[in-house]
Amino acid sequence: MARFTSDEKSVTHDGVSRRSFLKSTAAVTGLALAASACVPAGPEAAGDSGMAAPSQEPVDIQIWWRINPTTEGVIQVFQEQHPDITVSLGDLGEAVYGTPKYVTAVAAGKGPDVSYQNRHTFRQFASRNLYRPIEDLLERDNLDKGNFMAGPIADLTWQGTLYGLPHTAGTRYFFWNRTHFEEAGLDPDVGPETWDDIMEMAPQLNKTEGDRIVRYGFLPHFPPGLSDQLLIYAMENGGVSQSEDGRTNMLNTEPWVEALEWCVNVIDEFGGGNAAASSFMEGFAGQPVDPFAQGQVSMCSYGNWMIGRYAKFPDLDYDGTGLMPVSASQEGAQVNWSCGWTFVIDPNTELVEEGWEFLKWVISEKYVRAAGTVGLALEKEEWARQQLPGEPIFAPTPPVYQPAMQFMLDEYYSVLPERQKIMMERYLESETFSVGCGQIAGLAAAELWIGFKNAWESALTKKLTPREALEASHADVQKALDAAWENLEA
Amino acid sequence: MTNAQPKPRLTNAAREALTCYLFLLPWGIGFLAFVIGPVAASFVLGFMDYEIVTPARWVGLANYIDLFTDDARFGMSMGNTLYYVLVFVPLHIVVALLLALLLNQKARGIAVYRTLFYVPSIVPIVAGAILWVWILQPEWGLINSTLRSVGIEGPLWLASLTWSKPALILMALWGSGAAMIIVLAGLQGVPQHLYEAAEIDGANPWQRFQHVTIPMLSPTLFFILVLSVIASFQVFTTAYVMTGGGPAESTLFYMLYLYRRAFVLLDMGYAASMAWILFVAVLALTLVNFKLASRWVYYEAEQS
Repeated sequence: MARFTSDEKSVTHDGVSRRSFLKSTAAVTGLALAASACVPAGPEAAGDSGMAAPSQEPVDIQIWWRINPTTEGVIQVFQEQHPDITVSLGDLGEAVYGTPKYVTAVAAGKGPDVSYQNRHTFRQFASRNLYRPIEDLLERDNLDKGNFMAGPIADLTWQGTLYGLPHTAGTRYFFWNRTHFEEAGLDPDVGPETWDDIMEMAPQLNKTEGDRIVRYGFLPHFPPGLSDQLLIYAMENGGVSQSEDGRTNMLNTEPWVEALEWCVNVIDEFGGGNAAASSFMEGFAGQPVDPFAQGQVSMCSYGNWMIGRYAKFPDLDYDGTGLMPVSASQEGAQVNWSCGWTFVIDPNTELVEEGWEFLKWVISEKYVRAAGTVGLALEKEEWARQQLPGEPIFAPTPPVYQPAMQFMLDEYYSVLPERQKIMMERYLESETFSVGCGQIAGLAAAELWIGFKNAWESALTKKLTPREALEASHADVQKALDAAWENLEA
Repeated sequence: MTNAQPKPRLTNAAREALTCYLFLLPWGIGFLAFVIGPVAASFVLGFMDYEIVTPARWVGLANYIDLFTDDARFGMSMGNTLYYVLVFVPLHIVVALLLALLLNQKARGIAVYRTLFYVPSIVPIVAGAILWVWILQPEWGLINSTLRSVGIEGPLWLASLTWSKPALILMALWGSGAAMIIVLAGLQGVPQHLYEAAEIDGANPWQRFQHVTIPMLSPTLFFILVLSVIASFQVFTTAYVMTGGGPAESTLFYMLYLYRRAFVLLDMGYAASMAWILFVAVLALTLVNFKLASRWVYYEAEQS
């Protein structure tokens, strides 16, 4: 029962005065704050009990990757195979055209011990010491760089030093719909080899209802939502993104201008203009299916990872190649660019050995086996859920480390249906002549990918001519490139 | 003989004050560490070249000079933002007012309608943005499908240079429920006798609205105006989620550009200078708003 005593001006409740209550609460709060300030947290705490001072307790490393059933499954396997290491898995967040979460965490000294990174911006961040160099670890453990695909290793090398281990790789891939080809009287076994072929085939593959295009023979801005399509068309026309010394951006050179003009022209001529084509493509942005899978586009430039995914569409009879169709001036040239994911070690972590152990594992056939087992089980579930006919066509993401790739070939790619097997072989062939995106993008990578998008959208929407659009993007990227070199040399 | 008790070192009032400050201390520490500290740091960073992962380098006014003399995107993003502010804020107030007037009627089930109109404003903004990407989809989105059914070919909305900003404004207006609730509260606070007096004086409904409702609501509308202007200058999430600043940077708003400079291009010093320019601009505009308020905002307490 509460009572009020006027002389002491205090409120008591069951014998506890307000003042006492406030005092004790303040004391407890203060103690709690002080105690919480003393509790070590994050990687440093784990680092104290890390390799420097061996302990019976497993060491916990923090890994930022993608959180999904596959990664969770393989982490489980890793922990079973490494009882001395436990993993705290975190999500990396947006990381294709920049990696803000990782950058800010490392800058704050709170980065994960190991992180997944895209190669789009790798050199830009490697040059700013966002990753730990791994040459010493590579040499100590006799890990031969020659056992990796050459392109990804070059992407991850800055001024002669390797900063990460490439995990997966992928190239652009040109797909065509065999059924549509047959309907149009074209040979379904032969895709276009040049831009002229595309220009000839596209109108034959287009389908209209009244004045409305219901099936597009070819649309350059594919897939919906991606912002770097311009790059492959420029490369198909002999374009390079920067000078050999990496100091001059080349977006405003003729091959780029011609490539963008060609794309605008294709859309105007066979796509019913940008309004109609954009309206059509926008319908698929962010959706699990794309218009090629739906049979609404007959030819498209996408990525090798779709070889397996398109297999989930039973009505889609498709074929493809990693040899991209080129302009007349480049006839006979083998053109493609590759990209993929990489694992890096935080430059500030004390758990280098444990992180390195994970890196070696995740590129190896042990990982491929674990990911394959988990992935195949999930694929079977998906196949059953969608009530798809036959056995699952399982084409996991190709690894970069050759022994792991060999295992992948033997275990998974060799049992693919004949057509997908051939397509996978064509993809592997394309990796041999592809240029890595890390080398393409250089030190002003983030600005370059934005530059591609801006030029593309400005030209397609007719806000600017292709030349003006590319000049504008060139100016932006060059400015960023100059600043990057200036900072680096300062 | 007297029982002289030792005099307490602190009076009750002093003890109370001390306890009070002790309780305020955690908040104070947090405020200093997480608000004042970063604000002061950002001011200093505005004069530095700071790439987050490399040591900051003093460059004086270079960032500010660059912004005003050598950065077309600065002007463009500010232009996009001003467009948004100038179109959205008046519409927002009008929509909130109209909705509040509508929902101030004594009708059956009015509470349900009030709730329905308020619900969009509590939908998480990212979820709302994704929903609106679908609604605005040009081919089969709700709006264009409806327009097509009456023979109108709708625009490309988010894919159009012309319609991308109006599309985002339209989406933002969908969330006017919060302002509507404030106006509704204001409307219900207008004394009934003022309407009765006006009616006796022969005022028609429009005149009552013009000469009673609006003046009595003016403090509420002013409050919404000030908050909306500040919030509109900071528009970010919808553009980030729905357009990424495109097409062709037609929705590259100031905050989105600032974010890009800071976290994509790692130009933190430059972004800090942008933040301070925005702060000064919004502060100046808010002060102007307050200055002009005396011309149209009616405070009954001041009159009496």
